[in-house]
Amino acid sequence: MSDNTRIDGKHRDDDAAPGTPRLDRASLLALTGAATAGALALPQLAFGESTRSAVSPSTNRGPAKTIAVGFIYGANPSVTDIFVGLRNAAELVGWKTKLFVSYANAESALTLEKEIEQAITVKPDVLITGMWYPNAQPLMLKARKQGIYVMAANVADPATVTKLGIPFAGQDFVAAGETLGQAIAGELLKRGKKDGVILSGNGAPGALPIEQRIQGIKQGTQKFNKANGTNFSNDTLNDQSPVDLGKSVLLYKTKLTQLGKKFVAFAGTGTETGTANIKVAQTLGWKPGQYIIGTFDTGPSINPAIRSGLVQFAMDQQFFLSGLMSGFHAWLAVNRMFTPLTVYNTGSAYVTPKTIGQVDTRDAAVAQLRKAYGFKV
Amino acid sequence: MSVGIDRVAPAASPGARSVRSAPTYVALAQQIGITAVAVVLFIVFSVRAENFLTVSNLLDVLRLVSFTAIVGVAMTFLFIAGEFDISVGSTFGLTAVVMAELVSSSGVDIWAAAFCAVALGTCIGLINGLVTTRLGVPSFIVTLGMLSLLRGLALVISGGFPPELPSDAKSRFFSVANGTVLGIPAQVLWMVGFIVVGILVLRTTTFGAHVYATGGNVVAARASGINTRRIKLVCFVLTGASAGLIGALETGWLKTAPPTTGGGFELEVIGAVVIGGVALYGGEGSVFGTFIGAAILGMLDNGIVLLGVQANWTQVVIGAIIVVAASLDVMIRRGGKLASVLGVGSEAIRARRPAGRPEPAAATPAQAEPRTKVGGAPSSKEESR
Repeated sequence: MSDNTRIDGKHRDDDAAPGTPRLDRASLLALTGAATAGALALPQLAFGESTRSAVSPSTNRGPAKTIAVGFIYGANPSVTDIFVGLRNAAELVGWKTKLFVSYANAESALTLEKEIEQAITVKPDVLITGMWYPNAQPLMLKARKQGIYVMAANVADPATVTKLGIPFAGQDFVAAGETLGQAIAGELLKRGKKDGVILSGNGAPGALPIEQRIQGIKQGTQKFNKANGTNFSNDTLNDQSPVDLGKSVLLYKTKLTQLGKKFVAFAGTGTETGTANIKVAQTLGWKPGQYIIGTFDTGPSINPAIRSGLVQFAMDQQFFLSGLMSGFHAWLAVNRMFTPLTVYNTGSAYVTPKTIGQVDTRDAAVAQLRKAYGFKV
Repeated sequence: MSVGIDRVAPAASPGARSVRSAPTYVALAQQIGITAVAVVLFIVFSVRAENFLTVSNLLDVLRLVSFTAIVGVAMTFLFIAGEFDISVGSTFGLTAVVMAELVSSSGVDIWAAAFCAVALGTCIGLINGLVTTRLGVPSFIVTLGMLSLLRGLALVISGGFPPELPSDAKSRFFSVANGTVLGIPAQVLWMVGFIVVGILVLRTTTFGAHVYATGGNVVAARASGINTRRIKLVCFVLTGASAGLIGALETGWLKTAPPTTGGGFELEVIGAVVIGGVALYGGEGSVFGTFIGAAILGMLDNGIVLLGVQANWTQVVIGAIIVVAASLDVMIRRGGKLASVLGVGSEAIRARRPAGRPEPAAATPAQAEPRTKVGGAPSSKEESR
């Protein structure tokens, strides 16, 4: 497949209107990388100040405000980068952030409710949370009634937030899942496979991001089948990867035994399932490319496997960017009365062994900020 | 007792023999019942699930249950002694993280780091034991607090990021954690070792008898000169050490340690122990039973996947089978048709009892009292000592 050929086999130009700017995946990733770097450099240009310095409120940035962040999944290292991006944005405009974060293992709707309620209690100017569970919605509306500017970051259903008028910066999980499903099926077809089972792990049954990604992967696979006459199918495994990687590896082994020769690819649904897929491949001694492995997220446990070719592609959520954009969005809306976009999709970066270097460059920049803010590097 | 009935609480009163006879039969029936459940599951999966009955898969099942069984052996001692520890999952996670951090961040030798992990687990067990036995804080509360505290520490130490061992690291410890001997995985060998030693200690040593005595009737045990606090303390230490050991083994196996490791593991261990017939109120149970309980959970995890049951049904099926197994246990204990079939119903027990012997229920109030105190504060009599 050439760079200008889509994963469904069609040429990229086929559906494009004349004059439409065209980007291949590498360019897209480079662009998002550049956007992140640009965002990091923005304060230098706008305010002539270091990104690391504590910026005091100044009149040209408007009055200083407080952003309260009610989050769960604090144990996920990727979530840290959202906080880093958010704090960076807040610091640049002279605002303060307060984190209400759960690091519990068994994250639940109840935990989320507690975190959001605590965040509301401090009467912030802005509340930013993720809509992992449906109970986030009434709490966000409750906060909005109290005059708090409410936003979603990391997790939300784009249709729901658009309907409610709640801004969101993060990945469109269904769309990203579709892309991953099509990418995996496309790679399989390229290798002469026309049928087989694409296996997805589900480490958190019931959680919106995972369920929507699985839904997207299935939709992507079906669309690909329809367009290309293939017969790929999907299967899921409750892999328990977030709580016991060792047990997860053994469960995958069992599932692979059950699927036998029907198994053709892993479609990871998050950092934990992706990590488990990589450990399974390493445990079973797979060589890079022996089976297709595509997953979500980049990070310390995923990137080396992308670099080695064991993982062929990953859908990067760009956590730092979603935090940064949330912070800037809130500032623009509250202090400048300007709302740029209701939904800012940060999750279309498609990372391959060829483009992982650009992720490394971005991560190195974010790591510096992480260190400066006292988060573990 | 071919199925591993280790012992029941020694009696300390004149009616002791009759008190012992009833639970012995009940415990035996329960062991038979739970073993029968395991055998039925094994047969069902062997017949219905393709590839279940292969050496490779059966070894995978044993690997799947190995960590649960290792900690389960120590937890069996603790349960029988009348206490429990719900912090084992967090201990597992923390010790794994500490070992990985020592190696990856501080360059500590892998063997030394593994030793530190076990030592840390031992210390955690010691703290749990001291707070429970010396301060009189119920073990449920102590270990609930430790569950949160230790998980928090794992996150603080790791910063949320799973520490990774260097990919080029070489050590014989990796073989100890993840090697094979004659094709048998190391984790399985560790489990077998723990089970054999556990059965021997519980069945043949004075310490084992004292563990039963402590959980069966703490007042009578004290009256007999048993230092029940020390017995409980040792059981806590063994539990912590075993959790530390599996933390080290897991890190040696996977060469990484996510700080969320072991979340919910405590329920798995307690599930195995309880399914295996160890009494929640102490004084009864066996290491073999715990192994059977772990094996049932492992077979369910493995067999349901092999049957191709839709992912979200897995938990439903596992939960249902646990409820059925536990119900069988209660039915056997209460008597009735099932117990009669097994020859251990109340009628059968009565028939075996020599004429003139009193009913087991006639045990003194002092004997009954400690059974309401398990996992809780020691009785006032124990406190005063």
